[in-house]
Amino acid sequence: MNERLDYLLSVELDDEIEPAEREELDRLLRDHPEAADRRASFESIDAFVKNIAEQPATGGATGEAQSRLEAGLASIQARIEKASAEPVDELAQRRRRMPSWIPSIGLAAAAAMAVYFVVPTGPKIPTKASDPASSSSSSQPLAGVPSTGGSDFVDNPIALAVVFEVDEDSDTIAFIDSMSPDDFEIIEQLELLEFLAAREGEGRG
Amino acid sequence: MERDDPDVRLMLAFRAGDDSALSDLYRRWAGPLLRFLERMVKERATAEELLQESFIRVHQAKDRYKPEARFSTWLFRIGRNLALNELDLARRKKPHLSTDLEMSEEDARPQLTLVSNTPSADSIIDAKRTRELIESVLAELPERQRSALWLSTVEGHSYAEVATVLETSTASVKSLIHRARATIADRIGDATTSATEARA
Repeated sequence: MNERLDYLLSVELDDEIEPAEREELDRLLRDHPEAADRRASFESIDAFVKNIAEQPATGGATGEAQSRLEAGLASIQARIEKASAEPVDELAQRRRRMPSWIPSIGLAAAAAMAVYFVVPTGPKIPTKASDPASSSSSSQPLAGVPSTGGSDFVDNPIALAVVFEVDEDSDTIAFIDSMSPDDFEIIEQLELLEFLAAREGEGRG
Repeated sequence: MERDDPDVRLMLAFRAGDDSALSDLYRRWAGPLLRFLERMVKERATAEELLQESFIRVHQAKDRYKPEARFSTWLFRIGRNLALNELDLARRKKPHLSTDLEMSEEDARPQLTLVSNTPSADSIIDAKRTRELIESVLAELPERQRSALWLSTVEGHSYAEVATVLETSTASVKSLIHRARATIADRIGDATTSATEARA
């Protein structure tokens, strides 16, 4: 009975009691007069807890507590202002920390792409693709894909000039003056990508 | 949540860019939140740090704020979670120190230590002593029981709001609060009996 009575008294005190629980509590209070003492005890506890809440838990006069709260607000505002300014500073710091050659990679890559896509292929020079010895190679145009003259492109001196590698030890960009068969494959794939991009652009148009 | 709730209005104004609204919210709620946090971490300085951090979190989350619940419910939930993290951190740093976080709700029966064991006429429980006694038992209650009782009795939160702060069910809140009251009532009863017997 005690556990149930405590529960009912508690929800009654907080005005969260259900109608059926109210009936049950009324019945208990009627049948067990000592239950009224328990109710009075609970009410007393709540009054004391509220009284305790009026006092700071760990000391401090009201005036002092108030001034500390105001100081806390000033601290919060300062932290928020500092945090608002941080993203810009942080970006600047990152830029300072970044090795000077890193931005040049981006520029070089952009230049390479621009040259590749914009500069005409120039006079066509016989390539290995036209070499009978390699006529079965992958340089043959794909079915349904019109030729862009790409198989001749690899011999274009301009295109060769924009192929480069980054030497991380010396922070320099070195241009490659010779190309392997794999390099030719890559360039042919780039030609295919260029064609697909152009076709997609036409589709949008 | 109704827009005529002043806290909701202030929070929406703050979200819309009115920074002074945060100051107003702070002035309205810093005191209640601080005393709640003090009861949790039992250190004024730590509670003040957590108070500031709570409002920093409010600032950071302002764009995600939705007026679906009372602002204070949201704020107390933020504060309580920060306090729990702090208590957990303290326990990790000093594993030999047990906290009420480790106690189960059922077997947690605070061991009350009276200020004086010497029987005297003054040992009869009076109002001042009862207050001290309740404060002592309150401090030793399991955190969830204490927080539930505090939020309901002191802050006037409904059971549903307490459940939101404690991230539990309303049924669980009912149980937590009645156990807290029963524990305090039993301890007062024990102390009163002891004092009466000692006097006799």
